Amino acid sequence: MKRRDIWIIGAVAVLAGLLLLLGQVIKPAPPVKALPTLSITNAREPDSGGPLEEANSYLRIRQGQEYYHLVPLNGPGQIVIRQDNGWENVIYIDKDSVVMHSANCPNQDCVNMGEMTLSNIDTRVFQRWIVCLAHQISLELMPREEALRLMEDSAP
Amino acid sequence: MISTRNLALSGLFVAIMLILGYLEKILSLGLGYGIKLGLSNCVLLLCLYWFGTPISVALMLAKVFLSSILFGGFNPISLSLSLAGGAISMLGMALMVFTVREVSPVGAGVVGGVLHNVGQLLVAILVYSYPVLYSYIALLLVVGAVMGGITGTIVVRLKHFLPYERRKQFGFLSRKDEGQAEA
Repeated sequence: MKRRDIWIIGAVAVLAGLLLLLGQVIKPAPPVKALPTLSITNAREPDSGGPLEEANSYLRIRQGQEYYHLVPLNGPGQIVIRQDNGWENVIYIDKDSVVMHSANCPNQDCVNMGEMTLSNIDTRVFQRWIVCLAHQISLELMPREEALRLMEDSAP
Repeated sequence: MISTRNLALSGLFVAIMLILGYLEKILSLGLGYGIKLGLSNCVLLLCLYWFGTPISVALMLAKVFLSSILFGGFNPISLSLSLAGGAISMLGMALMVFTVREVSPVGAGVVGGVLHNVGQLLVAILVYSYPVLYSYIALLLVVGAVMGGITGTIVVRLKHFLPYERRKQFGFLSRKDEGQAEA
């Protein structure tokens, strides 16, 4: 090890510390306006613009740059997202919880991200997100108030 | 012009990188969270000292494309992330080895490990709208630095395999080498 090695390691440590602090200070930005939907197979779809079905938490699913309808997390269910190129993600939902059950992506990172609930999003590394980067799918868990705000913002 | 010996060595190094990458994958050494050990990075760092930048870049490209075809289902998104990580990491290590100097393989490995994660995150966030999670980025920086330090240490252990003139160029000569030079 040479002296400059120590500088490099020190710089990385300082940068990581700053990012950790930044993570504490900066709260997640409010969600952007919802876009038109894609279809979800095997899941109930609420009507566009209609009142949100009663639930404590909602799941917002994005594929690429497009958003699906908000999915109320008020009971057990399964969401399957199949894309034309054969990519498939199977999501299990339950009351206030969601997990990526399986995916045919190469790295399986999304499946390993585990269960996400309203009570564990503050302690999870990925906070309120489950992301399948290889299939460009992200799941964002949001509490009811935030979901209502989102619906109001996106209403015509 | 690349010598036959170096061509053969290059093929061997690519094979070793692919095997290391595959072992990490099947042994689930990924630690979850999309974090990989990146053991093949030590081969690339050794290549930088051995062959210089152009051949090392070619070997990095070969590794990225071949592992994507063989083990990654040729997924375009994963491929673009690997390319970004590999390219920026290679750039950083080459700068450390050939421009900054006075940095040991450990320092160069740390820079390479950190920049690999930085490159992947930049593409994920800017191109694929990955959520910006500061604590996750901090974790990736620390893991990149630790793993880079380990790969750098492996290169320190392997440096005596380098050809004599390369060892001389980078100040890796051992006492035995110097004794031979004097004799």
